[in-house]
Amino acid sequence: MSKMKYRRNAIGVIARRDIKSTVNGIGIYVAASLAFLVAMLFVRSNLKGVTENGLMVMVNPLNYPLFIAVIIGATYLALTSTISVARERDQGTLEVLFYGPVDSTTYITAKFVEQIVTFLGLIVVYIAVFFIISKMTNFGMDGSFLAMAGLSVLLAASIVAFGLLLSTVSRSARTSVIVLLVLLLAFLAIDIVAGILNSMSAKDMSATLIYARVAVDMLNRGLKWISPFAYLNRGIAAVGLGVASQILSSIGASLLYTVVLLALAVQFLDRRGVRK
Amino acid sequence: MIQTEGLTKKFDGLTAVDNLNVHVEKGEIYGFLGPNGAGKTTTIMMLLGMERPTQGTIKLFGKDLAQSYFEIKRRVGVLSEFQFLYEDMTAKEYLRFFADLYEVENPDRKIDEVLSRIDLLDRQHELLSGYSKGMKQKLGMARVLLHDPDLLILDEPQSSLDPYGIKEIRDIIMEENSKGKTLFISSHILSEIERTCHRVGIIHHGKLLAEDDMTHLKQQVTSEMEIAVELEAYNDAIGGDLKEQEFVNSVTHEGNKLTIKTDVGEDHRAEISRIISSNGGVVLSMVAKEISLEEAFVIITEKNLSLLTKEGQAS
Amino acid sequence: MRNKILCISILVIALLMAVGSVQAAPPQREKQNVYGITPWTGKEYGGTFAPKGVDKIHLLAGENNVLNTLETEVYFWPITNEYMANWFESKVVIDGRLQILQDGKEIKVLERQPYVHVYPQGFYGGVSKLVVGDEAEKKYQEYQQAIDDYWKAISDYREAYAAYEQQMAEILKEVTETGKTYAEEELPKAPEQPEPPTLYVTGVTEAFIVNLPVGEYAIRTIDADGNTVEGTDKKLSVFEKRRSGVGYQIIPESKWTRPVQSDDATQILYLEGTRTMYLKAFHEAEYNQHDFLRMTSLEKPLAGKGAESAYMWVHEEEVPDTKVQVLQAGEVVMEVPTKPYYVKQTPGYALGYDIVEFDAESDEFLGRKPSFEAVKLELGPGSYQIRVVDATGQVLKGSVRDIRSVNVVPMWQLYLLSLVPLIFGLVVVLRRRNLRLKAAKPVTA
Repeated sequence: MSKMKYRRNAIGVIARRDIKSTVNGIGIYVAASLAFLVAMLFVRSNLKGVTENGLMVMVNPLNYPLFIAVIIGATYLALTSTISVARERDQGTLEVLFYGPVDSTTYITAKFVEQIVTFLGLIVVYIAVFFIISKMTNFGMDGSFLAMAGLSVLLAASIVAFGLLLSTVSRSARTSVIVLLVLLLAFLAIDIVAGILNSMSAKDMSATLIYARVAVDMLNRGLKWISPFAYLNRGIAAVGLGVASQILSSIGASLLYTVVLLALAVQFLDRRGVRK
Repeated sequence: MIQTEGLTKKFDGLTAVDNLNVHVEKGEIYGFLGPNGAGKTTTIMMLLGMERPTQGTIKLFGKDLAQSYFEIKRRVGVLSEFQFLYEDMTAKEYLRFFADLYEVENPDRKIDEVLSRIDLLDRQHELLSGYSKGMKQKLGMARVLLHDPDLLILDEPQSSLDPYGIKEIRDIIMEENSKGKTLFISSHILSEIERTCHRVGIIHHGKLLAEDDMTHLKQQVTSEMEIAVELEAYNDAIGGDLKEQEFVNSVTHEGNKLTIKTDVGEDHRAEISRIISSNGGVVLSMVAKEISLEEAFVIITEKNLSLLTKEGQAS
Repeated sequence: MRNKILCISILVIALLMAVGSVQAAPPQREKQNVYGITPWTGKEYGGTFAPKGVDKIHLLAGENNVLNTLETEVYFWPITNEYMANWFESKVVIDGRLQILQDGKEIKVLERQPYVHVYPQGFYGGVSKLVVGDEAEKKYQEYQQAIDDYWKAISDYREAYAAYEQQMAEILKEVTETGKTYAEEELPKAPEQPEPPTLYVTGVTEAFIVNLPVGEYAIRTIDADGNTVEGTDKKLSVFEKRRSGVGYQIIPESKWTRPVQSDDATQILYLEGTRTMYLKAFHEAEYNQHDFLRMTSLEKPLAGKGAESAYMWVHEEEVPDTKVQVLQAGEVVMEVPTKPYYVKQTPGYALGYDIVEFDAESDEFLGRKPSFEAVKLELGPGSYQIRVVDATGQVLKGSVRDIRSVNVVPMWQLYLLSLVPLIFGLVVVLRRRNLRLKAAKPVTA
């Protein structure tokens, strides 16, 4: 049997076990409900906006709630993968796995596959719930929503890979979790502020706001290839433009980013070892 | 089966394993001994590719681990000193997970078989969080046996076990060996090693001090053999005649019990028996008292006595 | 303590005076060689200039843009954060040619050409056209001729009017003295006042007409000896629109002074209940925000800064004779043409208004002009699509928009929906726990 076949089997077995563990735990359900509750606040705000103004022009008002729900879901998965790697190391089960036909690549890939499969399940639930909301409110589900849902898988993939990398770099689970949360919040904050500043009318902008925009833009450019949200934004922009080559290249870049993060995670796990 | 050449591991300047040359033959039970911190676990981790050697080479089944990682790992079963289990699983689920990982054929049948061997079949549906230390140890052994490995690496396999458990594991070791499996055992229970192992290697401060079969090893740490003889009746002629023999170093008696010390190397019991008979004595029993493995281990490690003439070459 | 307060007060006053004196100080004027720029902005010609501190000029690709090398007085006006040029008192054309380089190699050297801006609908009536070369002079002459003709017509009119007044005075006198009556048709007709020409053409000026494909360039003004004129070395970025489409201005009947815009085809128009709205459609183009703002406001150092990765839609000319089709489930359910509308204030203290169709023939609107021209839509609950069709019935690309009337949903229903995964999770966990408890036996070993 080839090395790839052994590896594929091990990845499948480990991922299946972890998926089962996730599905049987309460965490994923709490995260999904929390994601929906937060998303509903935005749905409510948009609904209120239309009813108060009588008429409102906006991109699908379910896109942003979906984005928020995706971030909460993906962050939850990244946190669980971060904690689970550290916990498996601390409990020694990681060492036992490595006694067998499991190496760092297999293990990190299995963890990644587990989280992505879980996320795919989550996104199906998200789409189902948002479909119900779209019918209830008549907000509708247009191409941009579905594109967002599709691209969110790539966002989740990069966030999970980011979490896995941190779990292999950091000494403890707590450090990994704190660093992951701080970085994701910082990336998200920069992304949101940049989005707000870019959507403001540039002609009437005060000097202070322009300086703020310059600072945020510099940060954003610095994070262009680091922040997972930057990849999502490029994907959404490409879908908006409808240029196939740009869509493909943004998907390619996002996948490459994920692969690089995973490769680094494998390297760090190899270097640090699997023992307590 | 296992062959290391010049295996060395250094941690921040500290040499944990120093130029280790271990050779384990197919079908043998090899005891790997050493005091705490001697470098046993580091060596095992290097054998399994979980620690990178600073220097040296490792071959398992005659192959480089890095080259045939998965192929080799699937032929090896490893039991560690402490059992790290997924405590949210039942024994059956746990073994099923590893059966799938090793792609065991007929996994359910195999799981029942190994659970029967360790007497845990009727506890297979219980959560592992409720298992005692001994049960976990036995379940670990079940995991090792699940995929029918050719090489078993057991690190303290009988620790945490009661005498019944120790016997169960010993029986499994012997059974596996009888099927032609090779076992590499690291243990503190030297009596068990002495009973089960064909050859031992003794490591101290990261260096392999001795590697030999049991008889030769003991012979190398002592210069005399003690033979205890019980006679029907003692007479001075017997003592006098024995003392005159070249191979006899000393003779003492207490009542009708004689203690004769001879050089090691040859077995002189027949000659002694003949001398006693020729002097009118009747031998009721004769026992050649050997040094125990534990005594040999203490001597070797306390004196840091290297029984290898060159690195890796038995004297 | 009192001394301390006194000292702080003096310091604060001194500081305020210092700030005041800075504010009051006249800006420093400096003679500079600058580029006066009249860029085509997609909709009209703008006006800006590149002073010494600005090293990069932005222009649209494939369009005639006007650049002129001038010497003027420049100062920075801190209140609006922009450079100002004192064109009225100081404006000297610097002789020379414009050298354009790409990757360090000269690709073009431009001579100044005569040009005019032609406003067919008058200076305030619409977009100008740039006319270059000999045609510029002709256009200007045409305009001058029209002006001359107009003045001549005015002169003729005045004379005719004077004659008419004379005639009328005589008739009046006759009527007064003799009591004679005249039928209306017997009275002389007053001459009609001539209409001034709507065409407006600026005076013929000479400048460099820059029309380049997309790319990064460098420009400089060189004198007759081929030497670079000081301060004229600049970078030139020539860009193009990212995409084009059709944008809407939507005037809600309930708030006609607060129209909303729909620029992007991904935007959806949401309504509550039945709503009436008036739509105006525009051709539009999307540009990089930084490049566009730098192109139009180069004199403002902060214009477009930080917007390098942002894009903006710019409305160009209005789609003429817009017809909007309304679709439901893919079928056209109505086609509405553009009509003029008049906002009629309703009397009374409520200060309300009605938007009514403007009928030029009706006495009600005599002497009035329509408030706006648009397509009126009245849509009830449901989901629709709208699109613009031209005179030939072709759907304009990028004009499709979704319109949806929202349902007001009680929030508790949405929150309840959010809790479904949690409820499901609790069922899963409790079920698994029960299974485990059933399977497990007490462990004593």
